[in-house]
Amino acid sequence: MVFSSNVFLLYFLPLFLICYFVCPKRFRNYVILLFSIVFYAYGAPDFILYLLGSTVANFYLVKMMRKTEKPGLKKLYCALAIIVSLGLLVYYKYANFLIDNINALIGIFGANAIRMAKVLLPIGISFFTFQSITYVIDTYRGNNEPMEKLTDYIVYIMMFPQLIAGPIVRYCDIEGEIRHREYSANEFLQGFNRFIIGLSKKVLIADVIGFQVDKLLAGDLAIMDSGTAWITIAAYTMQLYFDFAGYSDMAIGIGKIMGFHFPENFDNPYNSASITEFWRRWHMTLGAFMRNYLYIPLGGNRCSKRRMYFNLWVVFLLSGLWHGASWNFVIWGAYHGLWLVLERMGLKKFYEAIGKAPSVIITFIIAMVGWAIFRIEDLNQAFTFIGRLFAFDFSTFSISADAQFYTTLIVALLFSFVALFPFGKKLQDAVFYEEHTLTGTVILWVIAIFMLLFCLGALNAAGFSPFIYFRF
Amino acid sequence: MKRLPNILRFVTVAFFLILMLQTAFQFISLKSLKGFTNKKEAPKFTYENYVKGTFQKDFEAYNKERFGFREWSLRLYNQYIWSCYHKTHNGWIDIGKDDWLYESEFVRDHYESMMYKYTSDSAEMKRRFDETAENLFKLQEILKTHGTYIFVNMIPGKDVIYPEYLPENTKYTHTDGIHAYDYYKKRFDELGVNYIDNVEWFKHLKGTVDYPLFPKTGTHWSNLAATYAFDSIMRYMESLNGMNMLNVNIGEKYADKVREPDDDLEQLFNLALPIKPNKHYYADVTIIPDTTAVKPTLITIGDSYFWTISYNFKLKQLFTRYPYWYYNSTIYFDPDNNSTKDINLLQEIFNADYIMLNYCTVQLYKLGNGFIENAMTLLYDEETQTPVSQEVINMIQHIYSDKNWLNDIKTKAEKNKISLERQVALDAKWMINNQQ
Repeated sequence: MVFSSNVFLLYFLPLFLICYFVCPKRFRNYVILLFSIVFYAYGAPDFILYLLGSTVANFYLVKMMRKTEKPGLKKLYCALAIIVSLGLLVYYKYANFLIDNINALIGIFGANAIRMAKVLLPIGISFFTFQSITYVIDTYRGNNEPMEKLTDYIVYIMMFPQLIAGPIVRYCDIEGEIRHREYSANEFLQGFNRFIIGLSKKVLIADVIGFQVDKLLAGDLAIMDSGTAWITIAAYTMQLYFDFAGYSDMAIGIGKIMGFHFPENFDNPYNSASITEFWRRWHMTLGAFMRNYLYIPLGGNRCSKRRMYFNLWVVFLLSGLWHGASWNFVIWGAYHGLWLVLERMGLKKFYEAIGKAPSVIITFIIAMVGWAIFRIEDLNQAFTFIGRLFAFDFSTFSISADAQFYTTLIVALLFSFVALFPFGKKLQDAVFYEEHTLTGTVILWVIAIFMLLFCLGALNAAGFSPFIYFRF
Repeated sequence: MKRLPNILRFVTVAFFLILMLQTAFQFISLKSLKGFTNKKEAPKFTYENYVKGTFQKDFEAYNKERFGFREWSLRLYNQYIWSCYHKTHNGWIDIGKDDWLYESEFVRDHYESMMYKYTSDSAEMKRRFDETAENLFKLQEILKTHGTYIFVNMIPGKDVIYPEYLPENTKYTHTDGIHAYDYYKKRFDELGVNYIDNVEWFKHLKGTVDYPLFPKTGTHWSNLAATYAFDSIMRYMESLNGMNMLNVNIGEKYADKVREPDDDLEQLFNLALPIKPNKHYYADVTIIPDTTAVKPTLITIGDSYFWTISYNFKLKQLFTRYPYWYYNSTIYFDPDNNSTKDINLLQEIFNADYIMLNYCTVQLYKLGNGFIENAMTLLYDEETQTPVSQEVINMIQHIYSDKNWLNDIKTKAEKNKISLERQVALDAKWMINNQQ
């Protein structure tokens, strides 16, 4: 189930809100638990038992790890808990990829291919695996006590707002709120507004742009003119951002409605003046996870320069692979790793010299080219497309898509860059983070209700094509 | 006022509850959306469907058509894309210049030909047109001997009369398609088929009248144009057999608020606000009393252009019966019959004084929608290439009037994989031959 579906908006969310607020506070975690299981089981019935099973196993392994006094045994339990989580991730997410590549390799030497039934990917596995790892490691490090109640732990892992697409919430960030949280009407309304903002980003911007992007990329990329290629990749850049950030907004919004404070996942990433900064603003919770649980344990930057470059590459190669089991994601990760290394080798000084605006433009272009690799799975096609970007062939360029696409794209670009300017930042803070006056609260609420109906219309208008009369 | 956030929180949850209840029970009655769609049925929940994910997919699609306050939210969104981008999600409609609306089929017929919907082979299309025209002429001659007059009423499409507002052609590339109207007109003249050519007449009228022959936001001929046209059609019917029908008086035209179906395409946009229309003209029709006049029976077979006539004329006062066999399928204006599948075809035909095949240029490609073929199967002997005898006709009527016998023949037809009419004709002929 996704947030921008009729089933979620018309049945699941209303039922959840009613049950949640009607229930006494002490039972509300059970309501979350029940609805989260239904949420996951509705969309991925095959995997609900796997998810529950691995979660329960982790809970008890961590409990045993905490109980034992022996450091060796502690390490063993920790390793075991991580292996359970990561092992399942590797199997479900990467088994097909590994087998395909092994077969390709041994095929060169004439060996018979290894046969294995295609493994289906449990939705959200990348997110809940990382959350369970934060629990294991943070508890191992002694940063926090393990959960006492199994149900509370399942709530942490399976809480439906962030279950399938993040943000990746570290255990230590939310532990307290799982045990006890405050409920305020203002926070509820902020959460509701945030949810509607996210829904609007997804339905009114990302989906509209995405429809056209799919059509443009379905054509022959080798003969695409450079103008169309740049519009296509700019559009995809916006689609991806508004889709993902929209989903994060919805998750954070529902979290707030429930009394939770999930970490922010995006902070105007396209306003970054370097790729290093971009990764502090884009999918921030993944960046934080990679930093805390991979980069720093590898030595981080408290080591030789060579080692640091190596660490960066490893982190970004794995980060690429985390996004999907395909070579284009690996290359995309390596591409970003390369820019990070280059920035540390001196490119950053160049950016400082040319000033913020040119740096932002260069970084945006680098990010866009990266998204071409990310979006086009076939690497030959991806590089053909990038070739067309830099062919500077505008001879056959014509604007053929409809006005809605272009208008939405321009609006998306404006929203993406508005925070570069002081008034834009002020506006954004006012809408997202600040307490509102009573009048402001009412106005925003009315707009939110209007936008909810509007988004429902947008979600469902596409297929509605009635006839005047029935025909035979 | 400090309680306001609490009140809003309560109202928000209540709003979601109402949204859910409205989705499930539709307890608030809202102005329904216009147009017909093939409605999805609620999917059945089974464990297998659920695990496969088909239930979830179907349930989502089902709710797409019935979510709470759908009428408001779709109109709101449709208005947004229309006002801001001049777009519609309705795939059957093309937006022309100056907001003139056209059904996509008419645009296609104008720029290439609707024949490509049926075949891409011009020779094959011609063969089908020839066959239909020749059969129609034979049928016309047979029916005349039984006192029934059949004729074709050819009506222009909006594209034919107002091509200047059509959208630019961006998708149609075939230029050598045959147009049904052009071909039939030539063949009807050669064969002597009865027909009324509203196409040429409307083209001529366009420059001489001060009212629109087609409304800007509708697809059918305008209410006023159809009114004048049907008056002429009645006079044409009289000329076929010399019958004295009632006359009508068409009053002075006047501008008025839009009436059905003059904005039928706009209605399908399901907007919140109306599109600025051109003026809609109407005239009141009154029947001139005449005690010597006859009220004939008229069967109309064809497309939706007859609806416009039915809205403006008191057909009940002009005709004894006036069944409307919509695309030769569903029957309207006939209290005894609902579908052409369940009628005694010959009885209906022989009881009628006139049969009007009422088709616009886009629908002419399927002239008769099988009626001509079915009637010819019953009335014409392919073997001898002559009309069937009165004895066979009587036997056919007898079969149709005997429900049990007809049901047996239906079963036989299905088994032999031939049409019911063919099987009835074969059995009737066999009966007559065996009696002899």
